[in-house]
Amino acid sequence: MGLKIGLDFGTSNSGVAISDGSQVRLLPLDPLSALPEVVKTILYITRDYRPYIGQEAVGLYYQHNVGRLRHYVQKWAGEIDYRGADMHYVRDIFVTVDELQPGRLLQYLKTALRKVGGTAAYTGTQIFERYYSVPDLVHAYLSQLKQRAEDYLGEPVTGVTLGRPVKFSENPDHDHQAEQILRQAAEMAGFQQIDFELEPVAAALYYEQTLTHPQNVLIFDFGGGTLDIAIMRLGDPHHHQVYANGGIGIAGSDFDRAIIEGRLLPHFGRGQVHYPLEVVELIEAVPDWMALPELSTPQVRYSLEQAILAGSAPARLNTLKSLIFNDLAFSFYNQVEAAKIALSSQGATLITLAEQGLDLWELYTRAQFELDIKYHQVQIEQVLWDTLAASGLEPGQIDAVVKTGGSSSIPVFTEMLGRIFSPERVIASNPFSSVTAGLAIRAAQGSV
Amino acid sequence: MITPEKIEEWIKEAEQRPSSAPLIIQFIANRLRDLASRNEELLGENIALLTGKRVEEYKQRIIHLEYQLELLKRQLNGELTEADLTDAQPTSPEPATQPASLLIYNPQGQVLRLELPPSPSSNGSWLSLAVPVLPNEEPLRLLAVPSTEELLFIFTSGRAVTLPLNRLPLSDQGAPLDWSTASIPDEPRAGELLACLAPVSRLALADFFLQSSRRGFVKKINASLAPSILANHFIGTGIKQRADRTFELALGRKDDRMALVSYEGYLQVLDANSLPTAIEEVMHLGATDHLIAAFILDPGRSLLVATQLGKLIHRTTENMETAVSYKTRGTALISPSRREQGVRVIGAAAAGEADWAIALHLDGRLTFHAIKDLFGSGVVPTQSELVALTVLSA
Repeated sequence: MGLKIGLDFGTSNSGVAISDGSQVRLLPLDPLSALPEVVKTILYITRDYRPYIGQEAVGLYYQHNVGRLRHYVQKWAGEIDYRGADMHYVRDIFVTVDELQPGRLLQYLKTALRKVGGTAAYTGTQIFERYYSVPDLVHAYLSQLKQRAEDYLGEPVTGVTLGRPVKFSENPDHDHQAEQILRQAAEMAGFQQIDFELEPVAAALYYEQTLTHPQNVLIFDFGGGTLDIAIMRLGDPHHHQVYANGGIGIAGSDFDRAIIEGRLLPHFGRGQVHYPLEVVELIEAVPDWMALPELSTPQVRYSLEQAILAGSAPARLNTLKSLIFNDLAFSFYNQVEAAKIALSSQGATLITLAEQGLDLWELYTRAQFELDIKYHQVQIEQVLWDTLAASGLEPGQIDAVVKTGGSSSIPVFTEMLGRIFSPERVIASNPFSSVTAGLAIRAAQGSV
Repeated sequence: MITPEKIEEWIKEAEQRPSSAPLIIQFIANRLRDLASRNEELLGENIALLTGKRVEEYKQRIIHLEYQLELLKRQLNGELTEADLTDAQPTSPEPATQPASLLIYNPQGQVLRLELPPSPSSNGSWLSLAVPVLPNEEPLRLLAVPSTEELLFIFTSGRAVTLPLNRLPLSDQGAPLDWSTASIPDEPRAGELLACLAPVSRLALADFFLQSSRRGFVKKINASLAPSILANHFIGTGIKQRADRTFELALGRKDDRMALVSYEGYLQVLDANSLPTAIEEVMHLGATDHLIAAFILDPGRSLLVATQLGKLIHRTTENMETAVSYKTRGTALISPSRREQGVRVIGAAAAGEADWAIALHLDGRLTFHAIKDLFGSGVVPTQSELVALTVLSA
């Protein structure tokens, strides 16, 4: 019989913890990270199909890709049948691939779970000669995390309590499908005993350990991918009740996108220069972390060079060209995320990227950020009120508001919670590890 | 990109949170300073364009590139066509095995050219020279390069002549090798000696020539002057003292480091970009000392130094300190006691594990050695003494 762990598979960061029933231990599984118990949810798959995660993945990505050579070749990808009333012919389809590409970097894997089902579903991606479905991608990450946990603990890990958002999707079928995919990936990673706990409930379990008397608690779990809210009665062993759960698929990655769209796309000329349609489409693809790295093809280079030669804002297009063709997408998104984080503690910051012919400089203030995410803030406040209404409680009946998750540190949301519930009742829990710790507590309860 | 709307938003932030104001001012001030500096550069560039100076520079550059193209064509025996250049594709990272030659030359301008085995498979003796190699005579020099190289013959008078290596006749390796069978591609004129042979086929990739003298003086010459140097057959002596003599010429790039190794076992590593364009002493050698090697320290390769007894000194280049002062004789490679006992350096080069070393012994033997074996053993076995050592890059 192996150990059972709590595993928080987050949009930006993940973590593993174990509990013996009395004490929770967060496992330092990423020694290269500033917070070793927080493992970035980043997966790097090399040409020989070896997966790397966390800071090791980031380091390898930079080591392999900065300033590397490229060689594009046409590869046969399949064929398309054209059928008309009186004709039928088959056409070969070729794609352009960089045969010197050393690996693929993937982030926001959990977002893929939010995109299962529906017409715009994300089902997977081609990595070199293999197709990775969403379960394959999640499995690649989870198996590495499991391996690290086993190496650290020195014992096999067979059970896991996985966190999940209150809603992967508004559509119940898609929501169920996303949980099934996560379960399937965990099974493929070698976990035999798998159960789930809602992430805000896990955060509540962690908070409950500090309570000496019963309280009505609102958990505000605001991470990279979703906002999850749970209103519960905690601290009373005879009366453990979840009054209401709520959530919305808005969080840190949406704010990053809002920053890019509002502040950085104008650097490439969006909304200011009249470009050909193909160039406009390229610019529109910049906020999409999955699309940008795929744009470095000879065709795109040709389109950009033609537009530059035509003289339509050549300096701005050259900036775009440099971003696409120097593997700077990851640095670009990191800069945006770093600026967002900096604005939680200061009033102004810089978003800069000055390398490889790129000179991006944007002075960004907290007031601008709050303006850019105002639309999301209104939606979030609405979800909060809706969840509160569903619980049947008034704001004054909430004894404590526990905020956790990276995005919960954004001042405008702390102010919002303070305004609704009064500032002294808003408590900051460990933003990156309280869910992980709560999942470990749940795992230990399940093992007993 | 600063718009009036953005300025309004910054002001709003400063009004809402006065604590943000110093930060905003600091960011803007830094940016202004940066932009002012760039503006000055652009204004300078504008003046250069208006006065025609930049046009002149580009014309020179075009002439230089045309010369390089001509060199490439000659290397490929005229097989390079316009179509080859326009259809050029990135080549496979695996270098093609190409024939290589060993050149043995002396100050009288005599050159023996031997064809090297394409893929040496064993270490040890290879050929013998029939003429005895005397230690106190003018030293023989060795150079091992691909047979497609273009050579620059540099004489002590400052004269410089180019010649494709494959135009040098091959010595008959079956017969005894002596100077009577050597060719004299360009006979030294009265009062001059052959200082060195420099491979220059990679001139198009170089930023400058680095000319060194026996007494540790160096002169950096911008590669854009190459057409003029080659057209006039004159590069200069690179010496300041009457007793000094032109020694070596290397091609360097801005990020390169140059190594100078002396006969008495001192090493000076220099940042190539900051070397002087005027002739300047960059290694302060003792009265009895002189340079034995001057070369570029390629990144990822090691420094290999050989003494006359066959002992090798192997240093990795990563942690090698670059000299900050030209007034020193550099770092000692051998201990003072061994120097007093008469140990001297006879050759040095940058070497990689896949390379081969060729050693010339006092008894006239030429021997081949895999560098990786030499790194392991630390010695070139010799029955007499070593006279010279060179490295053939893989």
